[in-house]
Amino acid sequence: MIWGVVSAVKVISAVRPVYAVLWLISAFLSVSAVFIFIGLVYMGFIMIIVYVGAIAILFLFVMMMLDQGKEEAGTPIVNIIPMGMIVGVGFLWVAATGGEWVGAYITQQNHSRGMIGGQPGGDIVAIGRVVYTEYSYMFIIVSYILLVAMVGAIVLTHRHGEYGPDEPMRQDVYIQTSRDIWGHPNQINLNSLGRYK
Amino acid sequence: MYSEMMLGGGVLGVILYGVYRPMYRWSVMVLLVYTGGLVGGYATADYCGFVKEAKDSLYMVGDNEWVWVLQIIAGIGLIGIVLMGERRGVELVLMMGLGTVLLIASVNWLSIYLAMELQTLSLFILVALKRESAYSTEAGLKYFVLGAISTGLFLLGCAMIYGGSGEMSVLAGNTISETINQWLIRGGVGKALITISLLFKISAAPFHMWAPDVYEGAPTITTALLATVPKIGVFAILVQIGSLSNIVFISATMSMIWGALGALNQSKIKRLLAYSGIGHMGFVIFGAGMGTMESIQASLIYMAIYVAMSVCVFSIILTINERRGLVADFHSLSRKNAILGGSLALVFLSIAGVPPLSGFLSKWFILWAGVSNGYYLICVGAVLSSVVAGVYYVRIVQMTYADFQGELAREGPIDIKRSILIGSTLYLVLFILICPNFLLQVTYDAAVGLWVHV
Repeated sequence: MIWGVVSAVKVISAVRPVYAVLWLISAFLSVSAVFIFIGLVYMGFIMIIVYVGAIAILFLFVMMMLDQGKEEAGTPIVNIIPMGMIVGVGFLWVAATGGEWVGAYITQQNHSRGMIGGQPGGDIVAIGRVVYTEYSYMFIIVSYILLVAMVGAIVLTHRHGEYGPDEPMRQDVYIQTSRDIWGHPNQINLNSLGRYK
Repeated sequence: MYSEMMLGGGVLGVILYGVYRPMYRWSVMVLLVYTGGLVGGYATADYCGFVKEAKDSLYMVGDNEWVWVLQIIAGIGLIGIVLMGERRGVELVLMMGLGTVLLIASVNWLSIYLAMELQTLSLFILVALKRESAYSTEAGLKYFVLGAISTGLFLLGCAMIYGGSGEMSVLAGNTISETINQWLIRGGVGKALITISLLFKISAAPFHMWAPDVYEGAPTITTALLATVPKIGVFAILVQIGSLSNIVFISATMSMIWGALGALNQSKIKRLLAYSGIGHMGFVIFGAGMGTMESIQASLIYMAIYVAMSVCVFSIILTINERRGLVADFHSLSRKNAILGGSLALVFLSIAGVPPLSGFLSKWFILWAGVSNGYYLICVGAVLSSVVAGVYYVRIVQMTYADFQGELAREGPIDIKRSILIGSTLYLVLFILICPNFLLQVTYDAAVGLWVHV
């Protein structure tokens, strides 16, 4: 918990964006540790796989692609504090008033349904049992959605007409290796930026 | 369930062999077989005692008349869209159709969410298909962001309902108020969020802001697709979950008024049709919100006739094939091609609701249901806004027939598939008022099936 709070504070106080993203990863890891400690193993692993494995890495890539110039003085943190106070107090209030009976309700649900506590092997086994039997149709539909994503990525990025009307995109190693990516940033070669081949 | 499995397998086959050659004909065949199977199954089933206890009916049902009839309408709409003749991205159209028929058949929040995602994700790609046009890219991005927002609202509502009731059937929301008083407000909020998200998808008025831009930027066939098929699926769900009627009524009234006023100033035909679609959706969800059997039957009739009219209008627009897409492109169409101009005029008069045509029939049923349920004020608003909306439809007709300017070049021959589409939908538009019994019987069965299965 303390680890998570410290990481979250470092996320907003880090000077370089890349460090902020690294602290964000650290915060995600601490949150997943909290999940695992309270018994939600599946949620913890999903936090790691989805947030750390995919989203934070995506952030890192975007950060690296951005041109990081000189640091400008951003908004002073004093301006953000009132908003942060409001949000934080709101969250604390919800946690203090609502958390108790929400928790009671959840434990009651778990007892009545035997969902998380009752299964041997924890929630991963329970979810696996349900997903592959009762919800198998849903599982198949998810696979269709992934297929749409794949087809869509190909359809949207497939270029027509560069190598002829029906020729697919080809790799050209010579053009790729001779691209001028190490040039001085002030002398950007517009030709090399405009063409992606 | 078997029909969806068949369509899913067909889609997979089309994609698999589409790697080697374009599978346009095969996708038409898949859709024809699917819809034909549905129609055949529906016609041969003894649909008075047809509802049976399906084993998997907890998560997906394909087994009542409501689902069947709506799937048939969606299948016919899909055939229309595919026959309009875009070869590129036809597998995505099939995927979207699969999402729509699954959405119609689902009775579980999880399956509704997944089917809606399948449908919407395919539409994002189809909207952004014209990559060289900045409008298309902008439309795709805008649709993507707003679709993501509405999906977020939907998931939040689902989470609230699931937290309140602990089950994922669509009927779960109704049991909340009876069992757990503490969660009453949260259950209501969840239902409201889900309703708002569905209104987003159907482009009803306070949540319509994406529609004109997306309609204008998308390729015309995708616009035709957006205007017809996904709305059928979302409408089916909006009726099935028993949405909060107050929100639906407010949205319906605003849609009718805004659809009438917003289109007055438009010069692009696709933007005009987007606002017209908003107005029509106002009528449809007005009937759905009333929640009686007559009103839902009336909305279903409205939806079916709206799909037929939209397919006809978009086929004509594609046939004219003006690059600018202005309303002014229709001028002197009756001189260039008298039959095409005549069909355009008739369809627009039907959309406006002029009596001998089918658009009048659907508006009449909705207003009838509204008056007999006592919603007088909304009915007066509906009549007034359809009078206002009549102005711009009749302006197009006037432009087709009376506004001669420029050269009178003869059009070339029309594509055979499009002319079949225009002819058959125009037949429905013209003659359904003479003998509406078939449509009435089918929609009556569908509305009854909605009551029996829950």
